[in-house]
Amino acid sequence: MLRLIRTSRPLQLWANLSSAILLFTLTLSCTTIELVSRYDASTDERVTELHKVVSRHFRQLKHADSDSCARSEFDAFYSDAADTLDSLIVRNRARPKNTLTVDSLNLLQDSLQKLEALHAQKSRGTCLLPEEIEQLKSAFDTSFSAILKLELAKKRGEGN
Amino acid sequence: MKLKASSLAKDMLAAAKGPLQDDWPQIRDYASAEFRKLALSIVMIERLYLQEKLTKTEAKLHLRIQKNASQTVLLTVQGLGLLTVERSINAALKVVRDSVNSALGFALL
Repeated sequence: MLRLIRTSRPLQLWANLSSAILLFTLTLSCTTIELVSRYDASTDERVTELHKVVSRHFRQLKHADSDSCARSEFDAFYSDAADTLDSLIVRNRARPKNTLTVDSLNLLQDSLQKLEALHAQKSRGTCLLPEEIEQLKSAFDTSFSAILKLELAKKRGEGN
Repeated sequence: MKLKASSLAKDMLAAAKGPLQDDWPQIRDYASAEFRKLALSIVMIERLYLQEKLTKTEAKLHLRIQKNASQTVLLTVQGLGLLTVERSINAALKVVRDSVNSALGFALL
């Protein structure tokens, strides 16, 4: 039994070393490694389009009077934006090594829900203040810009 | 054997350092600019709350949206960092491939 143990250890070491050499050689023979998913043109276009829609929403809020600024006047915006984001999240979840973009889109979805809640908080005849709209637009611009910056960086210098 | 471990290691390090040195200042500048904007927004929200133009609930919702924007910037910084590391690793791997193939006289890797 002891002889078996003595002979199996060198064999185990040889097996480990061979595996390590094989793995190293295979790694070197790979063309490139990727730590982040590749660029997705559809995500780029749809996020850009959604940003336009959200910007338009803030512009409308800024010019709305007390009769037309209520949350109920903007049903279409909130439901369409929610649907677009749902679809973007599903698409990006399906792509490998794409957690960062999925997490960013989830944060954007949360922000949109909070915007809707904030809008609904205003009592009848009270609109979002211009100063509020300015800060909200700035935050959403930052979010969109960050998502797009990462997506464009995934091009990795190709076709920029 | 033409390959020397010390020269190969030195060449790999030089290749890997390039992307890290080039990219970090841009990533840092981007993050700085965005966090400065977000900080100003948070101060403005606090001011509106203290002026009683916002309720506590409204202020919390505003701050949540600003916090989400901050986190998104951090996620992007993380992603840009990963892409930089990826470029560094690939640059070092290229040095190894080119050196090995050149030493051997044929494309082993």
